[in-house]
Amino acid sequence: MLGRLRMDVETAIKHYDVLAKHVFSHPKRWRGDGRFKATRLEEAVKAMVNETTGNSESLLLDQNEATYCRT
Amino acid sequence: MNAYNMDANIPVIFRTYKSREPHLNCKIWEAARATSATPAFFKHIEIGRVQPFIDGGLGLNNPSRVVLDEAKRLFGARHIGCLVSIGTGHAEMISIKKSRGFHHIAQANIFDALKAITSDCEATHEAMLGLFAKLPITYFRLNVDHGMQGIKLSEWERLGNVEAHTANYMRKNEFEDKLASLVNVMRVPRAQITIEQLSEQRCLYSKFNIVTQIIVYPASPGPVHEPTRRQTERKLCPPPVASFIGQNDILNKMCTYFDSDSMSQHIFVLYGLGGAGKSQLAYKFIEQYKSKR
Repeated sequence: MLGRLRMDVETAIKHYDVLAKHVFSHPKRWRGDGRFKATRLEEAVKAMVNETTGNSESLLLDQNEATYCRT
Repeated sequence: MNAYNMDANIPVIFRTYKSREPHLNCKIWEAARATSATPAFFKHIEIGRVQPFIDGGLGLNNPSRVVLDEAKRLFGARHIGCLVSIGTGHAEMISIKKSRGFHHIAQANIFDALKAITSDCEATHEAMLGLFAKLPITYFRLNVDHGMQGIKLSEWERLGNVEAHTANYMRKNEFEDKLASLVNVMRVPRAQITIEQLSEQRCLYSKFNIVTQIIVYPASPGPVHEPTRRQTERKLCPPPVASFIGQNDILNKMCTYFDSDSMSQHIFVLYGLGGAGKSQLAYKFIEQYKSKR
């Protein structure tokens, strides 16, 4: 969040609050493959990436060569 | 950011930049999923040519070593400024209440996994302390020491508590001192050793410590900011033991040598068996030489 998405600390905390609520407030009843639903995590991350970069499918590799932060 | 490839059991580094290593052409959300796929919490993810990934939390929750290796590949010849490691709270933070009955077994597995993670974090921290023992004010570990017990990893409602405990930790005197020196190191980087030298040192520690090399900077009239930097470096050198005696012939030799040409860097090698007094001799010399000027 701080590195690739270049958020400032406050924005990152705000997004984390939203993300944690979305993902962890719905524990799975049947815990076959982990306690929480990975799809909810995916949804939340994609929404956040979309809001920041305008495309939820943005690549991890930063195209901006003048990048400050390597993560 | 790292995750394990489940088949090969080697860590895979997700990078946002190009490097000489092969690059996984993945999306941001895929990397986020892969690095949070702790088995007890989320299922694993497959990226690219069907490589299942699980989170590095299983064996690499404190990635300091991986970071150092990566930094060596990227900037090996540069001087190391500092290494800052931020933890998520002390051991008990990620404790999970064991429940009775139906879910008991699943919960116990999570509990064991998390216990393994924390002990691994501390072990890496200890190793880093050893590695940086001779480089003061370079390695910083920031970790809320207590108060986080009993807050479950998934208790998002209690993020406020986490914040309060963190604020408490940051108000402590020792933390303020640590933070002040950290800010200082970041603002005015001190040239100590390169990252390559540091990793060589890592190998040296395991062999016999036979040769001690000391480098003394001549006190030449340099740019204005330089003398202050040197003074602080000298301050950090420990004094010799009070019972130090003799060795005047070597001390005189060193003195003549370092005085010979004050404009260049000098290297004087002291060698001898372990325990012979090489370090003490060096401390003694620095003490004497300092007071001469």
